[in-house]
Amino acid sequence: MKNNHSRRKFAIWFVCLMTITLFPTAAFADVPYRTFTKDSYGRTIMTQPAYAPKGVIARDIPTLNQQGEVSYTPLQRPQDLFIDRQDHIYIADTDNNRIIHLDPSGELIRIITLPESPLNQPQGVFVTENGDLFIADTGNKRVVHTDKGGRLVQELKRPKSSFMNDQFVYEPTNMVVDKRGFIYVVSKGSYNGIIEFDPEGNFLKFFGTNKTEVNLMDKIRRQFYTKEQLSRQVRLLPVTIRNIEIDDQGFIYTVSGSKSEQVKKLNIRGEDLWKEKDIDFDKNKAYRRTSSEQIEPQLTDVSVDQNGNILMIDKSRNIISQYDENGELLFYWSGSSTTGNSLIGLTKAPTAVATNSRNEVFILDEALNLVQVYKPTEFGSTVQAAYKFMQDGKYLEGEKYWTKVLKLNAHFSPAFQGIAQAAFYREDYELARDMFKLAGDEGGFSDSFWQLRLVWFQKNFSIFANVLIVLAVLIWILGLLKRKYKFRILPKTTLLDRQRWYQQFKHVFYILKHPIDGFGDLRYRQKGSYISALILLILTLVMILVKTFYSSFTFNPVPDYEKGASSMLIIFMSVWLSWVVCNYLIGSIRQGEARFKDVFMGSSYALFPVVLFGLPLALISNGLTLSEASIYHSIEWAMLLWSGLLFFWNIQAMQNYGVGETVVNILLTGVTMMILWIMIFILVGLSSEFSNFIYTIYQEVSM
Amino acid sequence: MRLFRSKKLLLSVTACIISVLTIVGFIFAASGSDSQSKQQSAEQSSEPSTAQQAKVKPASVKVAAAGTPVASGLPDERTFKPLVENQRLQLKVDASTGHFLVVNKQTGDVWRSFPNPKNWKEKSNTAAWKDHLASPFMFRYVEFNIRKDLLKESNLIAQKGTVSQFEVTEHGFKIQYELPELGFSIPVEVTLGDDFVETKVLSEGLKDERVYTAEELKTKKKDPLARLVSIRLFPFLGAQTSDEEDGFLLIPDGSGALIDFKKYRAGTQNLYTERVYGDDWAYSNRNIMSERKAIKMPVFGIKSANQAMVGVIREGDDYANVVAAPSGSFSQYNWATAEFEYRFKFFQPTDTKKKNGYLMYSKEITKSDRSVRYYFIDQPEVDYAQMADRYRQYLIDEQGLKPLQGKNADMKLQLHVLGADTEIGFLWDSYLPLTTTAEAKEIVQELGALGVDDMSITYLGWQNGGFSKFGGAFPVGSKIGGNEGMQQFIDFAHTSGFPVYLDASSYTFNNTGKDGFRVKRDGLRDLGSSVIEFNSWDDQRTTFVSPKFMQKVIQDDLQDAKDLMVDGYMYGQGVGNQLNTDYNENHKVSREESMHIQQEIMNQTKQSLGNVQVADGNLYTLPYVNHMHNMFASNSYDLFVDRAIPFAQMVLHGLVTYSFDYANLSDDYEESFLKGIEYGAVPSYIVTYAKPQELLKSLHLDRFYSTYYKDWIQEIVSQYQRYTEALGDVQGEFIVNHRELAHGVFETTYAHGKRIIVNYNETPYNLDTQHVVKARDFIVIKGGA
Repeated sequence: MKNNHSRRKFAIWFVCLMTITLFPTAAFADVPYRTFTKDSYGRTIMTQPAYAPKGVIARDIPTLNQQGEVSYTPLQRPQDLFIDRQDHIYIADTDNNRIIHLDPSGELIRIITLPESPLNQPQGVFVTENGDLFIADTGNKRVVHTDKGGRLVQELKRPKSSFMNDQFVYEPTNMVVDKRGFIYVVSKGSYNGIIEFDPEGNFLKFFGTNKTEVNLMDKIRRQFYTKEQLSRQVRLLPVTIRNIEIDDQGFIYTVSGSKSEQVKKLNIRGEDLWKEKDIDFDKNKAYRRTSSEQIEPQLTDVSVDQNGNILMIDKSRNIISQYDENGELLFYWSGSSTTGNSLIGLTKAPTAVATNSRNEVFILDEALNLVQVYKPTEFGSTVQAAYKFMQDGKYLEGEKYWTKVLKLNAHFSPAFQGIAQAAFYREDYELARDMFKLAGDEGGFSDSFWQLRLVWFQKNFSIFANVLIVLAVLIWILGLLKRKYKFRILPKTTLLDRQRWYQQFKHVFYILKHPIDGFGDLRYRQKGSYISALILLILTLVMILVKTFYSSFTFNPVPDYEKGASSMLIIFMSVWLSWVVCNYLIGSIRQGEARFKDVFMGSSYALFPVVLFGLPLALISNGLTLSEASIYHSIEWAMLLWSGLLFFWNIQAMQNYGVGETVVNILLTGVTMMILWIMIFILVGLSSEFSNFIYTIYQEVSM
Repeated sequence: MRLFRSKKLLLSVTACIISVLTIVGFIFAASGSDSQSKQQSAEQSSEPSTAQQAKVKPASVKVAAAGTPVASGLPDERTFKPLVENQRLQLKVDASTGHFLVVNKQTGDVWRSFPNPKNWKEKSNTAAWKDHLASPFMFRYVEFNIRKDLLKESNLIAQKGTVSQFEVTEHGFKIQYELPELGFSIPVEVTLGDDFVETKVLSEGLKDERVYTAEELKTKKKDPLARLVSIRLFPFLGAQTSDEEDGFLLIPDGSGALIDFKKYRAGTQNLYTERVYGDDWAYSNRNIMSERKAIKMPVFGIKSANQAMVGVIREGDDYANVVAAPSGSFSQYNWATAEFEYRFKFFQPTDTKKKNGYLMYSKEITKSDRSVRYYFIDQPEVDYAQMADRYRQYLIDEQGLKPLQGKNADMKLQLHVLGADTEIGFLWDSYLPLTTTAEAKEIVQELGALGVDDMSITYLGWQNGGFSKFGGAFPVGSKIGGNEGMQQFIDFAHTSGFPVYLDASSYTFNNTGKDGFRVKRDGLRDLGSSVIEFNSWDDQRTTFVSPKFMQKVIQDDLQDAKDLMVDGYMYGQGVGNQLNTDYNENHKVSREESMHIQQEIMNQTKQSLGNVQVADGNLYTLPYVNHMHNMFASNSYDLFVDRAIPFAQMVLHGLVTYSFDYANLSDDYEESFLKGIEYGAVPSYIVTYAKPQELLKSLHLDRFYSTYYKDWIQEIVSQYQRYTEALGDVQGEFIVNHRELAHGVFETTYAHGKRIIVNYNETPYNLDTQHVVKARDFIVIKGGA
């Protein structure tokens, strides 16, 4: 079901992409791709590009041949890109068995091939602060450490350790070196995690190992299989780590092909800082594709820029996304280049990403064999600066940037969050409350409201107290008077009383007091009718709408555009109706006495607590904050419980059942409802498939 | 019978005799040797002059070498015989291949219909490409009985094609090519003009079916059903190698782009091929649309050393592609050409969800005359400015464009006002007013008070249901003021002298069923006969409207617009921007007819309301419009493109005013502004009175991420003033030159000598001792003094 839902969403995004090419009256933006972000409610929205294509480097590497002529050789399936402190660029040109060293503008400085011990399919390169080079020499199954001049200093070969079993494959594909000189090596297909070496090249331990992904079937197997059977199974192994990155603070990022731990941010002890968040890095992203089949995401590399923001690339879908240091999505764009055309800014199979000191983004593409360069736009750099302040807790300094962001893109909702936090910080709670609402942050909204309420109470306490006292006195006096003179507060509405349906409607109050008798009376003493039941049903519907519409944002954090009522009403009505039908059917085969009319009436009368509590609940929600949420929720639960009990008694009384029979009846009704819905889905599905089949035959015959 | 009585008899008899004589002569010559046939063509070249004097229609002739295949290899220029000439140019031709030379009589410069043999290297071209290069045309075909979606590329030589007929005409010649194996025959006409040569594939006589005899069918298993898909006629006209590195290819990509001649260039598959006026939705229901920007002007060019060629697709531009490839890709030549399409690829779905299906080419051939004119410019220092100049002159002479005059040449701020949209409501959708007409008045007044003294206002989202509701445009939404409000607003604007336009691109679609629109009956259908629909964010179905139906709706609505005293409509989308064939049986139109409908709509609107504007319009809209919105300001970022130039702007400046994308929504505000100054544009903004958060209530406005007028009013005023200062007095002038002075510094020169120098760099640029261009700024140097 869930899968189905997400597929539907995908279909929508896909169609959206198509519509984007068509609908806006304005021309295409100048860049060849569209940039998206999510608003606070997870809705995909368009933004102006955060990065604009700047150009392409390393398209061809000039080399001198024996005759002294310059010839050009393109990169071949390059696998890694590294940018050092001085913005020099290093590319692991894998299939050419060399490392390319370029200056910040992309001009060739040198080609490193290590003639004394030639490289073989190097897949990774890393440069330390003092200029030492580490090369993952995959083909030779070693990591090479050279000095600044490219002379071999050290080789890290397969470590001899008792932790390593014979099956362990040591084929380094990439590595990072931290400030202490410890080396973290990613080996191809290693499920043990990262291999950590000390500066002398001694094996220390495995680091950042992924969890084994176990699905339900595996768990069941484990319960029932014998040891022998289990041993014949394919062993469940943790997902292998694909790539690695280190930031200035020493956090290590690993990229894996798994579903749950795609990107981990590890501290020095190997703990995942993003573990709690469970971020899904490729959820519902819009991307361009040529067929209707979904493409499996494949994250290949991450890079941390100067502001601490993290860039990720998805090789198969060509999505480049940027997250802040807490893993919140900033932007993403998807620019895949179709066969034949290579446009600046579009990628085909991005394998590595790196950023330089100016926050320019470099993306290495193994299919196009070049590096695409992007520079942050005005909008992109403003957003990043604003985030930087927000993460450092400098809310007030950041406000200026957020305001600018909002001016450039008023739909970029993280900006509301930033401004709200700043406003909260300078005690402008009213602005903070409104902004938090726009940002979809019900916690912040509730906090601001708490402050506002406090201020209001403090200001109005005397009036409030006085009014309360006066009211109490008045009521007391009224009570005294009533007892003395015996008058009615509300006049008797004779006109309505004469209406039969009104009398029947009023019976609901009797049911509240004496449920079993009351429902019995409905059945046997004609105290109700279809009309009164319908009135109650409509009242319930109205109350559901009132509750969703008037509840405070704290308890109903839904944006205005999503408050559509029709879907909710349809769901409620279909569930209720199928309940009535199924309950009647089950009752009639299980010796129940209720007619269809009775089940219909009973089921609507039992909804009365919702009518009774809906409005008060909505009203008080506007005066409560999240700290008093328990009050709100207990009332809500009481309402539902009462209604549930009424349903129970309703069946008991109407069908003339004992308690046990009633429980069975309810369970059976539930099962019947499920069957009913499954039948309906099957019918709908089959008939659409059938019409599709006919159409296909028609097409093939007529063509 | 009448023939005998009239004097025509005499004439026709003489014509017959002449033709019989010449045919006999040719047949006689055919038995002779090669040298004789050369003599023959010499004789034949002397013929047209005599024919011209006698004012008798030249006779049709059978070619000497009929039946023998065209020889491979580049033709020998020495054997070419002069055919016709005028004051400037002389046309020499090789009757056995149809290849020709155009010689400038003053300078002796030569343009060839085949690649320049000067730097020909056997090694650099593959065998297949050697034949391509030497052939007078390349073509593609599909064999329906073998694979419906597979194209085969071939040429005259590879197919052992022959010339069956060669006929001298008043200003050139006609030639008929035969491809015996496939059974195609392709008639071509070449004409010499004052400074151009025009090549044409005639529709009359074009055959692409081979009728197999019963015997042939016995020996050969079956008829492969080979059918023509496209032709590139004289694709290497003006083609040059990169040995001298002294030229470029001009392609109409975005605002214009150049591919320099480079000896070494990365990549061997660099090819630019795009459809003129963009993709056709009737063939593109599967996501196979181009990533590149659509071609708006069917023009291309080649410049090498001191000579330049501007190719203009004159007839059949709606069925043409522009193709260009630099040297090193495919062959050692840089070439640019037009490709004429006769059949189109489309996706035939075989299920209702349109997921499965197959690709195939359309069965029916789309026939019409297809011609390209090659204008020749030779002068020292020729550059793209001269090419733009020639193309502009062509537009004025042949397409009826007129230089801007009087008030039309004023700098007007293009203010777009977004009126309303529909928001998803709690129970039902409700109208979402964003700028009422009264509020629009306030905005205009405020802008006027701050110093914007001339503007043109375009109202978007004015239609009854707002921006995202298509169909049932009138009356204007009552919550933004209704017809009365709009009328008052227009009256007010007119008192200040500001014209008001309504956005009418919404007529392209329908999603309300209003105007009597029924999806099944009136929706645009693709070749597979299914209605082309889109689902937007909220699952709302939107359909393209059949062009014919749309025309009717617009005609019906014009009176309403006229009653409001509107100055004109702003078209876009399906009127002027996209060109679609319609296979709806009720309103069937071809792409060409669709183009005429769009032109008719524009013409009728202009007759009725006075003015028409267009957003991102195609060339054929230009005769009707006085302003072009949302024009492309960049190219498509192809890796092999070396320079992006404002070619389209250089052509259009002084003919129509133009603006780029709304400045407040641009990717980079500052850079877009500089580009606007460099490219001679007019500032354009889109604003709402409502706060930006209001826009989020609708699911269709997420492209309008910043439209709150208070956020932008200061910028609007200052940008307008800076634009006026720089470009206010040159809107009616042509751009005569544009060049890059240094990296990131560009100079644009206007007809009367005014120069504008824009510096995109982060560092100042010293132009000369007196002038410094500040970083990311520009200076204006008044000319003529």
